[in-house]
Parts: sequence; structure tokens; C-alpha cells
Amino acid sequence: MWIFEFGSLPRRRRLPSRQTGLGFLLASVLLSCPAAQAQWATYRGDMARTGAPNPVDEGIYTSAQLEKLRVDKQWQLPPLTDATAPPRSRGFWSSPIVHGDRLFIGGGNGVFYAFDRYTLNELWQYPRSEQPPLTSQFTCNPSSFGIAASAAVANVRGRDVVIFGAPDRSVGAGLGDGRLFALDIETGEPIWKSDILAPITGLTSLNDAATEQEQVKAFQEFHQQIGYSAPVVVNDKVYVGIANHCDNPIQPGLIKAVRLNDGSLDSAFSFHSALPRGGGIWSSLASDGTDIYATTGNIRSGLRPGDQIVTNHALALLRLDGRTGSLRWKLQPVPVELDDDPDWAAGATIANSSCGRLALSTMKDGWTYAVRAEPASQGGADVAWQYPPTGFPFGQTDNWTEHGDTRFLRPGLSWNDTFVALAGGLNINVEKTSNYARLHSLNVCASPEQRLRWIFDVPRTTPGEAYSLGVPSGRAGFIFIGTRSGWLVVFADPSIEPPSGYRCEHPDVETTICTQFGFRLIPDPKIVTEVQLNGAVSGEPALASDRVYVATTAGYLYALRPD
Amino acid sequence: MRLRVSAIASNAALCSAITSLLCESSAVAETLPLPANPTFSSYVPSEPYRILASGLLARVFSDSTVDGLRIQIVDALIGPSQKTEGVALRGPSTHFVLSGSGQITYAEGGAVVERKFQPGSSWTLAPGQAFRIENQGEQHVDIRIRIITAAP
Repeated sequence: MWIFEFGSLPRRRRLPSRQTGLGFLLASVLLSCPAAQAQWATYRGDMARTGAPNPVDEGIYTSAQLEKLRVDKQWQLPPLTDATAPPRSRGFWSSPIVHGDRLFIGGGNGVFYAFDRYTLNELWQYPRSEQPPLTSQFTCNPSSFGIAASAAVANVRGRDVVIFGAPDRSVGAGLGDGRLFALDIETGEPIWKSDILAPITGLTSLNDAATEQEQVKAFQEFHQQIGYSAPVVVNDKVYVGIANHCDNPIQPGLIKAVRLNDGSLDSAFSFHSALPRGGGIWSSLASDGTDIYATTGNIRSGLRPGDQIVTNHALALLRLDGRTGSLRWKLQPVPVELDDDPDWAAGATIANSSCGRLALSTMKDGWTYAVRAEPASQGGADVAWQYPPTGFPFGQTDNWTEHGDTRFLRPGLSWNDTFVALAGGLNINVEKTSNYARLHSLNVCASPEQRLRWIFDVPRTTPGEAYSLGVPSGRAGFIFIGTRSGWLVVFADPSIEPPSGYRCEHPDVETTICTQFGFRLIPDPKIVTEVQLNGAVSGEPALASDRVYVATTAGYLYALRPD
Repeated sequence: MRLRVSAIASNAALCSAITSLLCESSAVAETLPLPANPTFSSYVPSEPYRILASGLLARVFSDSTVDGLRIQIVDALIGPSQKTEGVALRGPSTHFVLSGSGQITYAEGGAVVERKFQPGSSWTLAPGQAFRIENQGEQHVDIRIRIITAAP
């Protein structure tokens, strides 16, 4: 087994200022890649969560091949018989991972599956069909009921295992405590089950509390969950983020580490986002091979009258010591006073760029940030840039600027000194929702004037609506993204294929008057193909050398390859 | 006075906020170089800004009537390093800078007032009081303007 080691990558050369140099740069990176790439053995393809791990070969990733991309095999989740399951929980909210000839994915039904990745024949499932699934009694959105996060492949005592987080009613109070499972990839037998990491000790809903007594009870209970946080395996530990069930009520955000060897809690590592509560870890953690990078959720709505904030790492992008969990640095652009629930819900992407190692992510309010990972000494974050560059931290004068529950919550992808993200554009201060179906490519090492590289309005979706897009993945300059309307759209970076044309960098300015009013024309990437699926795509396409895998919230799993 | 009526005729609500231009244009728009042989893509904004004057784009954010008053909120957009022509608004207006920095120039009491602005800056103008904006930064300027007039 070979798992991508972020730290082993050769330092990349500086990207030429014009996009025309990217193809050459890509070729040089391909040639220098030291070892075969695991297929797609963890969420975003690697522990750095790049979404575009360096491939060792071209595979099917040429225009000629991808234009012929079609559904080759498909598989559907069986009907869910548990009447307590919220309807939206029943499909796939996690994404497939691929290792060797196998594919693994957990369903919203609380069952984890292994498939032959060529035939999509089911090899095993966990729990077995006669056993109760891994579900929670505390339910709200799709993060709660079953398995909502992707898995990761690792090696435990010489055996390849697949590790994932899920609720488990067989422990604790029997309500669905969150824990990690490590299963033998051949048999599906548990190698270990971790200690309880995210307990649920009661089902009292703060939202439905009719009396003060019920409110107090809701706050006294633990309502934690692993939810959307995929585990990351780093050296001899497995890390996972802990959030809560729809802020009902908000719990202290946590990061837990367990020993890869046996799943026992590593008490030497400890991180609380906020005290008394707040800062849920809704996203998947990233790593540079040593330290942990996380993003954290909101805090203000979880405060009760008289609460004093003791610790506040909420609404932040942060780097933690991988051994202890102590804070290296944090970026906290939105103060508590302006917290209207702009969870930082897209995880961090760690890029080894030509201008140094960067942590990249887009906050839920739509602003994207790049933070220099080094130095790692404790203190404030060394921010390389913000996009759009309107300034931060935000203050009380920004009283028209919304820092609320908007839907910029997908992680981006990083390759060759660029970052592709579902993010707010130059219209962020006046119009956010139109960007929900729009990807921005940003030059991570360029000057602010050259930051924006291209914009792509993804077709076959529902512009202006939440969750219009899934999570983008990339390989060899081709970008794959699923849509809410059930399409897989593939398009080419302009360094790979000429763009379809040029458009204005400001999304609300017509192309014909763009330069007249001081804006730049930028490329509009060319679509390579669009493939119709059944159901919305919430997660990421997994890009193996010979096939593309994608799952939908309607419960379909697809293997695609060229005709 | 000069008003590019044709350029803004497609946005009636926006036109209604404008009555006159009291200053001659002094703007010379800076442009960034075009790519070699650029072909425009098929992308068309769903709610594009309209040309209000040289250097000045705008669109209506909201338009409502309350107690016999029409309250329009207009988003003004000035591109990087752009200067606008002079414009004046029909009713009293409050301007709030959302992003960007620059200078606003307006006549007041027979004097010309020049005032720097940055995000969070705000000012009010009387009906018909002309103003001109210069974007002095590398980023665009967003200004949200609330205009109050008598309801039609």
C-alpha cells in the first residue's frame, strides 16, 4: 500500500505569470513524482486535502478520453426500512474512496460498503445485514443519522484497513455515540472500534424546549457527532473532528486523536475549539504530515445569558501541534459580535506552493484566505492573502456585510500554485448567492491584481440555490464536479485546453463593457463533457487512473469510464 | 449637463433616481490590456450592472414604498482606478462604502468638498447635489446608496 505523503513532494517551481506555462509545469511535476499514487485512498485524495493529488500516469485524463466518459456501472442503496430516518439521510452524503481493486463508501442508511471497483459488485457490508446499522437517534440534517463522511485507508499491524466515523447505538446510552471503526479491507471484519469520541447522553431538543427546565437539560446533555468530518491518518494516529447535531444546542468543538494501532484514545492530544461551547468541527481535518489543520464553526448562538467566553477558537482556520493539539496559529476574521453563523465549514487545503506552504480555505461567508503555514510558532496567522481582498478582520463598520449561514462550505482543490474554490467573487459585498454555482480559480502566489485566474459558472444545476455544487476534484488539469441537478460536469483548465472564450472578472459586469470600466477579461474554461446521473451530488468525484467514481444523495453509486 | 439616457434606459428604476448631471465628465477610464485575440464567452450576467455615467455602473438592490415615500437602494460600482462623471440624485441620499477606497467630490455651500473614503465610510447628499467619485485603489469600489423620493 502507498499513501500519499504530502511532505515528500518535491518543491514546485514558480508558476509562470501567464497561464500558458502551467502545462509545462504540470509535466515537470508528473515526471518528478517519486512513487505510484494510491488511487484515491482518502477524502480529497490525500491528507493535505488537495483534491488533486499528483498522478503517476495520464490514465484516462485526456480530452479525447474524457469526452467519451459514460456511466459504466451503477449500484443503488437498498430501500431504508427504518421509519425514523429523515428522508434526506437516505442517500450518499459521503464520497467513495478507492484502493487497489476496491471501492469503499458509507451510506446515509448507516451501512458501510466495499465493492469490486470494476464491477460494483458488493463484496461486504458492515454491519452485516442481520445486524443493526450505525445510526443515531438524534437526527436533524444528513450529518446526523447514518454515515456522512468519507473513509480513509491505512495499515494496522500489517493489515490494510479502512477507517470511518459513524454513530453506534451499541455503546454508551444507546443513542448513537460517534466513534471510529477500522475494518479489514478484505473481509470487513473489525480490527478495532475506537473509544467513544462523540457522546450523546440525551435527546432533549433545545429548539423544541417548552420550559426553562428543558432548556437547561438540553445544555446539560452531550449532543456530539462526527458527522461530515472524515478521519485523517497521520503517522501512528487517526484524527477526527467533532461537531454537534444542528447546533441543538451547540457543543464545544473538539478534535480527537486515537492510536492507529488499536483505536484507543490518545489523551496526549487535546483540542477544544471554545469554552463553554462553540466552534464545532464540521469539516475534514487536513495534515502536512505532522501537524493538523482545522476549521471551526460558530459560537455566538450557543451562548446563554451570563455566559463568559473562556476560550474562543471558533470561526477560525487553525494549525495545531499534531502531538499535543496545542495551537500553532489561528485566523479568526469574523469577531464574535458579527457571528451570524458563518461556520468555517469547508476544511483546509494544504498546498506546497512555489511561495511556500499555504493553508487555503473558504469561510461560509464566501471569503477565501491563504495563510502561510510557517512559522508554526504560536500566535496570529500570517495571512498571505484574502479573496476578494476587502480587508479583515471585519468590524462593526461592516454593517452591510453579511457573515451568516450562507452556503460556501465546499473544500477547494489545489494544484500547481492555483486554488479552485466555491467562493464569493468580486460581488461578494452585494450579491452572494449567485456564486453558489460558480467556481473561482485563484493564483495563490500572484499579486492581488492577478489573483483571479478564471471563473466558471457550472451548468446543469440551480444557480442561486444552496448546495448547487458538490466538491470539485482534479486531475491533469481537468476538473470534475457534481451538481445538485444530478450531473457530473468535466471542464478543462485553460492551461490544458483553450477556454471557450473570455468574460469579465466581475461576474455582474457584461463582457462587452468590462475593460471600459477598469476590469480584466479572464478565461472562461471549456466544458469537456457532462454526464447525467440520478440524484444530487454532495460529495467529491474520486478519480482513479481508469475510472471516475461518484455517489449521489438519491443513493446511487456510479463508475464512469470512456466508451 | 449631459446624461447618457440611452445607456440606462433599460433600467427604469435606476433612471428614476437620476435627474441631472451637474458636472462635465473629467474621467478617462484606465483599461487593462486585453488578451491577444479575445473571444467573448457565452456567459451573460443574470442581473448585470448598467452604465449610469462614464466610469460609473449601478443597479437597483431594492425598491419599496413606505408611507408615501419611495425608498430605493442602489448599488454603485466603480472599477479599479476609475473616475466617474458627475451625477446628482433626485432625492436625499445616504451613501455607504462597502468596499474599496477613493475620493468623493461634491459641491456644498459654494465650495468644492473633497473627501477620502474607505470601507465603512458614509455620507449624505441633498437632492440634486452633484458628486463625482474617484477610485484610488487597485480594487473596485462598492457603494450602497439609499435614495428617498416621493412615491409616484
